[in-house]
Amino acid sequence: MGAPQAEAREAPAESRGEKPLLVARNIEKAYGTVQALGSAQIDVRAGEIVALVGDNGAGKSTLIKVLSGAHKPDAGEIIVRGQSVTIDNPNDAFDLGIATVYQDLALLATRDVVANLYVGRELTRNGILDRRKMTAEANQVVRQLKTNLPSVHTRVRHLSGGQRQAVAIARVVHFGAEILLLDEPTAALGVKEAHEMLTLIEHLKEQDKGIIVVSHNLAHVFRICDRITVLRHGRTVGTLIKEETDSTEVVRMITGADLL
Amino acid sequence: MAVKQEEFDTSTDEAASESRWKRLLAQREIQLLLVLVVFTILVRLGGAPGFLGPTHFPIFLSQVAPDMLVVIPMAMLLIGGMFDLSVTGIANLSVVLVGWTFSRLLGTMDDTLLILLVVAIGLTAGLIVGVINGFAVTRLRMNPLMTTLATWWMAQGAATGVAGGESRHNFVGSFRDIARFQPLRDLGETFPFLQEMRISTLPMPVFYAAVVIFLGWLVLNRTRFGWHIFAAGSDRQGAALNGVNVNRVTLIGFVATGMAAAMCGIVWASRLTSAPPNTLGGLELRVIAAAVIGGAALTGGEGSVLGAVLGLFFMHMIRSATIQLGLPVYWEFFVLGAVLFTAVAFDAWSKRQGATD
Ligand SMILES: Nc1ncnc2c1ncn2[C@@H]1O[C@H](COP(=O)(O)OP(=O)(O)OP(=O)(O)O)[C@@H](O)[C@H]1O
Ligand SMILES: [Mg+2]
Repeated sequence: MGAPQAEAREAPAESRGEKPLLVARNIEKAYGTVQALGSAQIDVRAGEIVALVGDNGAGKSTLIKVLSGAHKPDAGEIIVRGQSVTIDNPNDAFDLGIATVYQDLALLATRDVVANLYVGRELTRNGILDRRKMTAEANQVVRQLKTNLPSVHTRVRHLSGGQRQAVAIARVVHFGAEILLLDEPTAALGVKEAHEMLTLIEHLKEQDKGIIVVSHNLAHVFRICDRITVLRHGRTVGTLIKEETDSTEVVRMITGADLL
Repeated sequence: MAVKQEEFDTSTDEAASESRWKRLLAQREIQLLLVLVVFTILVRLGGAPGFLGPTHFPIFLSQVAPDMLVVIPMAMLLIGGMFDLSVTGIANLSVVLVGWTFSRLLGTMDDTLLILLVVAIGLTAGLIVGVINGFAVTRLRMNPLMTTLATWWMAQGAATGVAGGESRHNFVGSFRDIARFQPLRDLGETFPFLQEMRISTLPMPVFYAAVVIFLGWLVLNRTRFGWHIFAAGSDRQGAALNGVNVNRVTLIGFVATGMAAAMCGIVWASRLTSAPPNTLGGLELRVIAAAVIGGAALTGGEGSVLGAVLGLFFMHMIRSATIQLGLPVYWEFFVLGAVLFTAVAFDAWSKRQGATD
């Protein structure tokens, strides 16, 4: 079978003597009777992009949600900057410098870009919302990301898929999180927009962020990532260094077919 | 903000200023205001020249005020994606508890103390039902529509049960001051400028309503909690994933609505100095319809305090106009229903056009 061979070639950051930003070990999570995660492992260093791949239902989004505080794991250990931590809710994750773009984006359709950028983290002055500052900063962020939004006061429901994705990313970037979890950031995008998104992710890597990207698109994966973690039926079957593998091998690990 | 806004807004050409007009006219509050003005003119021309005139207006406000206490938190609850039918039951329960407490304790203590106790008991009833509603919906994940239908009937049943077929009339005299004109009239004697501004001709509930409107507007638009209400109503899960405590928002929303309904009942008891268990009828649909006419979405995430205020004005203006024009009162509900139908249809239409923004 493929798994044992793959494990032999596993290359976690730890074993190479570099201190990872985030390590997750033996994460388990069941939804009722569905065991979404059996024994999931992943780790990421600063200035590194790790791709998380696997078939539909492999548990990728579940692992992301465990790391982002959306779901509590049933078992396992999460280590952030060398410290063992528990992440009980999204605010815990925020405090640890972990920010997430969810697969469904989790945007507020009836609210404008400013409100979406700051939801849960609104700026106040003397207890009153500082809308002036939020609007000014939102304009700045939007300009930095070179996204062409009509106005930061546009409601999200009037934005295109690519523009929405940009808002979701802007939210993650803006608060200066060091660990970014991106669940299928290019799935809803056209060719040009996907290309721009990948460039942006590479740009974030240059800023020394540790980034975990979920994607089904192996071309995208091979373009931007440093390592590839493969999840199958809720278990990490292996982590490969990009230079030492190719998409054929990754596909085999994803599907569980024998390695030649 | 000012600088950046200008980049978008004052592109100095005519197209921009035209689109600004368009945007202004696309605002529900502006549309509603225009409708109210046109409606008033039509009613005045149509045979009721005193409609909303200097004599009618204070009376009109005093009729709107008790509902106004409830429509503001109800609009906020709707914006937060929730719903509360139980307000009518709560208000009637509060009325009955006021009458019952007075009849039991009259003469056993100082009048002022008794009034405070009575108000506290009424508000506590609202608090309790609000907590039950909030707890059922957030912790037990019960459906808000069915939950508040059930608590409505329970509160209403408790009201008729406590009243036991009696209508109580022995109130402390000064309890009337809660809903009266007199306190402000007295104040107007001392400060003539109040008389000049006609403020001294308004009854007390108008001021409670003004305070509630201001607080509602402040909380909804100027505090983090207000934005969390919008977030919870817009996308419950999305809001939670971003660290918004949606259960807290919901619980507080139900408690505020419950206590406002209780206050509405206290005001009515004070106006009537009588405590029948069916004092408030149709309150729930009146305030929900008003909030919806004012732009609150039943799906949550949208609406405004000003819209709810204007929506409630409209509902009461229709009622007043029906009477003043001498139209058969039996048709009032037909007109209210037609207005609500039009508002909802207009909503759906403008959403299809993508015009509301
Ligand atoms: N909220 C939930 N309740 C119950 N089961 C769930 C829930 N979320 C996910 N699951 C189940 O857990 C398993 C893993 O789902 P998950 O969304 O993590 O997969 P995924 O790898 O992200 O798939 P995809 O590539 O389709 O996004 C699936 O069997 C799914 O049906
Ligand atoms: Mg997924």
